[in-house]
Amino acid sequence: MLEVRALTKRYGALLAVDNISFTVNRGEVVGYLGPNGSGKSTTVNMVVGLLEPSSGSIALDGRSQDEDPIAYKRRIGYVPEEPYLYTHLTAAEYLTLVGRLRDMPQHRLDRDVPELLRLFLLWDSRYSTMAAYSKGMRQRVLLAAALLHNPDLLVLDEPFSGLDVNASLLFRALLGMFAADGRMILFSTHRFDMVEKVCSRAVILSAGRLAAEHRVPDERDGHSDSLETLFVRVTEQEDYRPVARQILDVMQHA
Amino acid sequence: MSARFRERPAGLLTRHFFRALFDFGVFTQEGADAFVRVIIGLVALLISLGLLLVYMYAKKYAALFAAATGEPYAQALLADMTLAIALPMWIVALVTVLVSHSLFPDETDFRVLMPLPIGQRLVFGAKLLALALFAGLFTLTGHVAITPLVMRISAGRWAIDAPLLGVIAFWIASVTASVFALLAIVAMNGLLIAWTPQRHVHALTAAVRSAMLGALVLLLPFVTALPTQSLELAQHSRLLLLAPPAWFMGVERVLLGHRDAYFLQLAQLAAVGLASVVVIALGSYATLYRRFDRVMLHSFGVSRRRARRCVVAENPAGAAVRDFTAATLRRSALHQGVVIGLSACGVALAMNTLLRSGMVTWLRGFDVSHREILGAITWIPFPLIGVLGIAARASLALPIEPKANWVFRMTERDAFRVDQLHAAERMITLFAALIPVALTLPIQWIVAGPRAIVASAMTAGFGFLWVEALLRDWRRIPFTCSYMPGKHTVAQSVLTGLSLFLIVSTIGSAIETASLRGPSSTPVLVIVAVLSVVALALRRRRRRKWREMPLVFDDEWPSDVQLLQLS
Repeated sequence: MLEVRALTKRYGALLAVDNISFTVNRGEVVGYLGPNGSGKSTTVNMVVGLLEPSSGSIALDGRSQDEDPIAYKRRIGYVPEEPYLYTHLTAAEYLTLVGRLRDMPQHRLDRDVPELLRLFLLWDSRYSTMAAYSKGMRQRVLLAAALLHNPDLLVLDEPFSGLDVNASLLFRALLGMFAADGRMILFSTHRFDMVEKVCSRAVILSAGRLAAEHRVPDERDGHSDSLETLFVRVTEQEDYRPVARQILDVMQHA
Repeated sequence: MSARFRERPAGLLTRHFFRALFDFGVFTQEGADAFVRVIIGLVALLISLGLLLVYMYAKKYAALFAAATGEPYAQALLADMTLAIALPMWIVALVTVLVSHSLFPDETDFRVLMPLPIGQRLVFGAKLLALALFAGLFTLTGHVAITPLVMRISAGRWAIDAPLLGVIAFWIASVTASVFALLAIVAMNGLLIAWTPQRHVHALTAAVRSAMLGALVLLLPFVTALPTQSLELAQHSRLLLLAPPAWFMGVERVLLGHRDAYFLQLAQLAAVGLASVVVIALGSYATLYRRFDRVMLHSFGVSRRRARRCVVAENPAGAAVRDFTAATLRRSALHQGVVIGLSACGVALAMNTLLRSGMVTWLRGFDVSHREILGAITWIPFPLIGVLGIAARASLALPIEPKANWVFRMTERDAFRVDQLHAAERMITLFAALIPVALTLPIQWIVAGPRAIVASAMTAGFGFLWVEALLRDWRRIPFTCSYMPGKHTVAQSVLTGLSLFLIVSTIGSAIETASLRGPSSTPVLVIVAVLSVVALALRRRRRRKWREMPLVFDDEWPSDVQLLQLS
């Protein structure tokens, strides 16, 4: 289980994340929702160990991140929000780089990397550097890299951005089976539809604070709009229709 | 640019492209600001060097004007005028090669600008104008720096032409020469981009740009040796018909009304050369203009042989960084350019020393002062050690895709750090110690026989010490840490570096000379042993520090408060 307790992050006077607590149980996909600037990415960066919290704790299966940061990071797979990767490498070279940095034996990389390239539909582009890849292809490389070492916890920051319909369907199925296998997924996104389709629970953030936790109803319950309604209410989002009207008015007056 | 032009799309685009010529895409905002300060410092240095040249030439020309006849002056003038034309030409060629990634509209321009309601003609026109402004800036700086020298050598007792006319003719001929240099580089790049198979264009252009940079730097000793060619010029040497600066010296002479057949031939060559590069450069632009969509959307392929890497027996994290370093140096034009360009500076300095010592003449069997040659062969290891080491370190310090370094941050482990940092150590050792030994040992062997081995041991000793100096504060995985150039002012860095270099090279050269000439090698071997022990102790200390301290991923300005680091 991933346990985040009283997590806080300050940048000087700015309080980016304020006393947040939540858990991700084994077998669970937890959606992490919030408007821009609500502290989602800051939390994700702390969970994956890229940022140090100002206070609070993060623990995986009862072992604190501070206790052994290396052992903690070895159990995590991470897909960042933007496809930041070394585009002068080929996908195979990148996956090998990540695998070796994660101390994977060479024979396993020799076996798994080509297989993953085939399954992620990147085999035909194996001799091209990733500079020539589309955003969706780069996203697939990042997902493959996150799964390569068979992590216990998968932290995904907008993983569906740029993916085509087929790849999205594949990933949805993959994430569902990954969680069903007894592992954990923290899924940060702006997309309600994806949270409703993929997640069993959603944590909603507003202005750096935890605004609500919500069990995502099964699609068959017929309450597919409830998460969006809750989000608008707890994050105190205004009614956007008057703003949309004003934008159209500005365009028409131009 | 007028205010009205600046506000129009053409003006905005030109400014955008002009700024992009100073942007290598690897710096953070702070790094980019620091880089602009470095450029300003270099321009100031260039103008100061121009004034220094006047001072250096004042004595020579005072003597020439005091001579009984005007013949020595006339001979020297031709050679020095060729040098005055060659220097700005070289500077323009160098900066054009440095920005050759931005000479033509690229894929980003295509993807970002083409969907906007602006014509392709505007994009190409703005790119050309930005390039002209950029080259104009350096052409102007180069000529402003060199004009005092031209004025000094054009006016005097034996002056053949009116000084003012001489300066005007020089500016016309020399600016044309700089334009030729610019267009020659553009033409070469244009041919590559337009006609290379799309799959290989990226790798090939990167390799050719690095080669051009290396060649240009290696040409510098020949450029500075031009004043020694006065007799060859006066005797109308056929060999100088191959030197473009001499062509434009011919133009300058013809402009001043000299109708000598040799000058006319040189001027004709200049005209043909200029016309050729104009046609090829414009032709490349036209080809790219017509095939913009097809040429720009190329794929970046790697050779299939490279894609199959060897199975390694070392620590996987160390092997990962080693392969990452090798792939980056193979494929990144910028990193390749830095390492090849700077290394070529060291090689050029060494070559220059050997040429001036009379080594070539000695090899041909003529009698030359053995002392001079010995001095040269024992001194050349030091510019090689110093500059090649700096080249390797500078290249490794420049980041590539800085935001992608999260993968290294996430996988950092105390146990792997030394193996990962070993990639940097290996490359700097190769450049600062092993290559200098490999380059100088055969030359020293030819001159001094088997005793060259002792001298080479000394070279290696100094090389290993320099490796430790370069890696003193190094805690970066190659290419992954943000970089801010110019943490110290250019003048301060140049002065400190030169002073240190002069002290070390003088002492080192003296010891190496002793090893080649002295009655016994024992004292030198003792010094080698001491150097090795010191280098080993420093290495052990550095590696202990590497195990204890975390990696650095963000470069910072040096703190005002310098910590003593006692613990």
